[in-house]
Amino acid sequence: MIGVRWRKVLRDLTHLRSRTILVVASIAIGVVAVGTTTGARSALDRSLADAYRLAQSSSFAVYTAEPFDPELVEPIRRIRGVEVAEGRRTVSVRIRTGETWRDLQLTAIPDWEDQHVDALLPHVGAWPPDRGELLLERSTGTLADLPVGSGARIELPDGREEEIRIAGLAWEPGASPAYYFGRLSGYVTFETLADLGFDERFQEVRVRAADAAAIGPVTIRALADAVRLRLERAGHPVTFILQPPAGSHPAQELLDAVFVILGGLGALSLVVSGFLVANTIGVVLTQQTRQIGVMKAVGAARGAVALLYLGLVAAYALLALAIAIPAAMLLGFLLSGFVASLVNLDAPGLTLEPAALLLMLGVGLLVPLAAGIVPVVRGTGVTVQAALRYTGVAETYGHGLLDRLVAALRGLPRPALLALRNTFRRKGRLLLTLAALAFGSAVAMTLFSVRDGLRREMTETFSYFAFNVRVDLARPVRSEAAIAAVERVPGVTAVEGWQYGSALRLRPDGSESGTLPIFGLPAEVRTVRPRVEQGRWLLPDEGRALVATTNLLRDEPDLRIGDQVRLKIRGRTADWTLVGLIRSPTMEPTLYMSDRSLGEMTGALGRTSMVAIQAQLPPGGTDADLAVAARAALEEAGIDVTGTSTLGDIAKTVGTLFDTLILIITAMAFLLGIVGALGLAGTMTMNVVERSREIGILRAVGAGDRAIIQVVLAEGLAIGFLAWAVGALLAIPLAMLLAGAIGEALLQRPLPASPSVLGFALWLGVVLFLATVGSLLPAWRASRLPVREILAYE
Amino acid sequence: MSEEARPAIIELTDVVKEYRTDAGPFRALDGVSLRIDAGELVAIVGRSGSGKSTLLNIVTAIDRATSGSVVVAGTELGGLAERQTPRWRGTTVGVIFQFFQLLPTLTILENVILPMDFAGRGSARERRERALGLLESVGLADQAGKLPLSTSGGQQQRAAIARALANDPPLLVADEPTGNLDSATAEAVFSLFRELAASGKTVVMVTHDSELANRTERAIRMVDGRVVDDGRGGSATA
Ligand SMILES: Nc1ncnc2c1ncn2[C@@H]1O[C@H](COP(=O)(O)OP(=O)(O)O)[C@@H](O)[C@H]1O
Ligand SMILES: [Mg+2]
Repeated sequence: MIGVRWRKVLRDLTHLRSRTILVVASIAIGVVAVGTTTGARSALDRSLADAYRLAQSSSFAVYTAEPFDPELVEPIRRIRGVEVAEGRRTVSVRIRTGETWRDLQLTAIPDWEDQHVDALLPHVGAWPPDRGELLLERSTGTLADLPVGSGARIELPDGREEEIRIAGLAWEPGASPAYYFGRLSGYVTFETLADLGFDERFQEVRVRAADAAAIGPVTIRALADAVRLRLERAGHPVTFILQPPAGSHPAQELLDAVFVILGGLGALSLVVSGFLVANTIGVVLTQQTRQIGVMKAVGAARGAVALLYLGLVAAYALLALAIAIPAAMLLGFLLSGFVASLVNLDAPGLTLEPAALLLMLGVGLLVPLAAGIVPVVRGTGVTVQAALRYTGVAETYGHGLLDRLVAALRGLPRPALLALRNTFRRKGRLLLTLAALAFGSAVAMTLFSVRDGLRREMTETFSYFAFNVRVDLARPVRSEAAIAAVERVPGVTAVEGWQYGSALRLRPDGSESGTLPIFGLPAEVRTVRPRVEQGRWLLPDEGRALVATTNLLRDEPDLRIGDQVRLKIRGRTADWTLVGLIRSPTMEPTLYMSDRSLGEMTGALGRTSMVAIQAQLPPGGTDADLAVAARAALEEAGIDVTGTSTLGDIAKTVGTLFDTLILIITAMAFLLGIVGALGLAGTMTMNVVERSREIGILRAVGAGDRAIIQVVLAEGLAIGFLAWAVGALLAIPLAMLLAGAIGEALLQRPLPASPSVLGFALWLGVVLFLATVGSLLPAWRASRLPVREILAYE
Repeated sequence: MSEEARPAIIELTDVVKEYRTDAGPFRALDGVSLRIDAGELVAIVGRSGSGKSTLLNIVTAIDRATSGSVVVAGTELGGLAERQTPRWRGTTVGVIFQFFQLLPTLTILENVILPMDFAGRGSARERRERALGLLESVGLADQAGKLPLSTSGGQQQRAAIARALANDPPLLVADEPTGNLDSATAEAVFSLFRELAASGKTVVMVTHDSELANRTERAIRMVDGRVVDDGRGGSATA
């Protein structure tokens, strides 16, 4: 049988139901926030690791200008340091979805059952696909409506159309999801590819270096060069080498940014929760002042009473955990499933992550006890005499500077004056309430500011793209011919032929950089608007001048404006002067030089393989229409097109990243709003309950319902406004911190964040609304209590 | 009966109590000397603000005297550390309040058990049996399972008396125990005190009810923190 005193604890728990609910909810909020975010994080980490393991990612892929015989892969496998090498063939076709055509990368896989690099896994439907059938990458569904089991028309580079059946979905765990590059991916057998008019030769080789994670990018690069040499000696010029960062999944960067947000939010929610708990427990103790006095009068030592109330807090904490653990499990499941779907990972199941469980138990018990210890120690320190004299009407007022300041306020309506004085009377309570609300407000306003920052970043990034459509040509053609063909399309205001290639930097210390894409642009380019951040843009008729995106400095930190940069392009080496750095429009570090400079190096002088088109669209016209017209015009002129991309496609690529983050942030701000409402309503209820006796006195001296409601409401609004103001001040540095961290994770540079005026205004509205709702209910309840009952209230 | 035959249970010598207030020190007790013997039933009377509650608080170690000596049940309270007072009080004094002050979430029975719980007295079963016996003796056995707020004021006060007796203290102290009761109920509570005194307990009660005060064997009158009259209750004034 448990002692009578513990029975009191249990009874208080069930008897003071609304208080119990409030405290439990306050604790649960923090625990759920922490549990959900850590749970989702560890589940996603595992999903990502699983995907990375399944992916068997290549260390690099080497693409040739023309197809080569499969036998050539064997000698590549024998190169020292090569662990696995597999040949593949990827062709660009178009597929019809509804009324529009979309580009589709069709990859033929030689051996479906025995893959060792860049693995493709079965997901839904056929495996492997039959002749005349196609499997789509599963994330393609986010971009295009192509149901499994249906037939689809594809258009081949020479203009022929063929029917193909979508036999299922496959998952390429190491690939970026479709929307990342706005590109659909499909997979066929070599048999099917032959039926479509291609032969069974390879055009790329994917290689994994032995011990890839350990040997570092420079060694891998050297290995890639050996593979390139081997292919070129066999008469197959290499057009491109793709060497992704070794050792991590491509989704890692986005997930890191998401984790930064989630971690920050979890921690901040915990702080808010701590303040709410401290406040509510403080009120519970104040309300029990007399009972504490009585227990001491009948022989309870202070320690025993304190232990009793800490027991009460522990009971609250256990109740909160009982609710929070399953809730966090479920929310973590939903959140990780959502994020996994965004980055094409397998959704983690409904699991209880040990890390999350441990953290929840620790946080769920420690935070309430820590938050409760001050009010408990203080509350139980009351002397019997003071406790019994305690009437529920505060006895100290008018001492502090604040009190006198507030007292000096005159000319306000009487209820407002009383409310203001009430607000400032319990300074400890006011501080706790304010802290909780201000923190919540700060987080919400931080989120708004970061969201604005992301939006602004997105707009500025897009301002780089001044073309509507970009057309990739099957092979380089004379620039004038291509431009002349496209210029005939109605509405076109500018056409430019770009050169495209790749370069390696030969560093002063003799090492080589990774592969860098390089654009050769015409003098006075119009189809892109580079934003110069340092130095200047290219000048017409300038010799060997070079511009780079700022994110190149991440890999090549020694570069300065004016430096000579030695580049190896197509096997030839020359020096360029770095004249400027521009804002990076994509995540990939990129180089720019004049089309003439690049043409001289690649031997494609005067020819182009990429046409950028800017147009004034007719009313109702779309970029997609323009793409169709441009392709038709080029093909009419005998120029083969491998693909077109519209600004919309590109925007989607870049935008999805930002949109994902913005979506998560908005959802979090919304959740926080609910938490804030709960906290404020709870605090207001507590404050009113605590002063029931005073309200009774007010009523006894003739205050009507309206007057009482006004007093309480005005107090709520005063607290709400103060919390907003303090929160706004806090939000400014917080937003800079969070934006900085997100920027580092996502863009490798801090994201600028300035206060979101709209967000701040919006949040003021939300806070005042919450304050009204949170105080109206208790005010109404207080106005309902009969005077006699209030005065007898304990 | 000679006074020497009974040992003193309360002995106050030159007790002064000053409160610090915004308007400077306020002397609530001004040199009180007093001796109360075991088994006495004593009433303390006086106007509101005359220092009656202050006096009781000092006797029960709820508050401390500013100067002077306070010896209760053989203990010099000035030498008692703050930490030791609840324990001491739990076993030495039973305190009874005007507003009963039963814990609202515990039943009448559990309220009576509580002091034994804090004093760590006996087994759970012994506590329960003793509490039931005490409730029986105050005529509340049938209310044991009820929550205080569902019983009448008189019943609550009798429960509070049972609680005060829980640890079998030699001294009972009551501050206006009948102030909130109608006269019939007040009468019942008073007879209970009489019986307790007859059975050897010392009972000190503050009361406004001069009729009750007249029926005690001794009434102490206070004015402005001083004892102005210490007479033999009924016999002194009748
Ligand atoms: N904690 C305190 N602080 C200041 N003054 C007090 C305090 N407690 C009591 N007093 C004052 O001491 C005087 C005696 O109080 P009290 O002993 O309660 O009187 P009684 O019980 O006879 O009505 C009163 O004037 C009261 O205002
Ligand atoms: Mg009094």
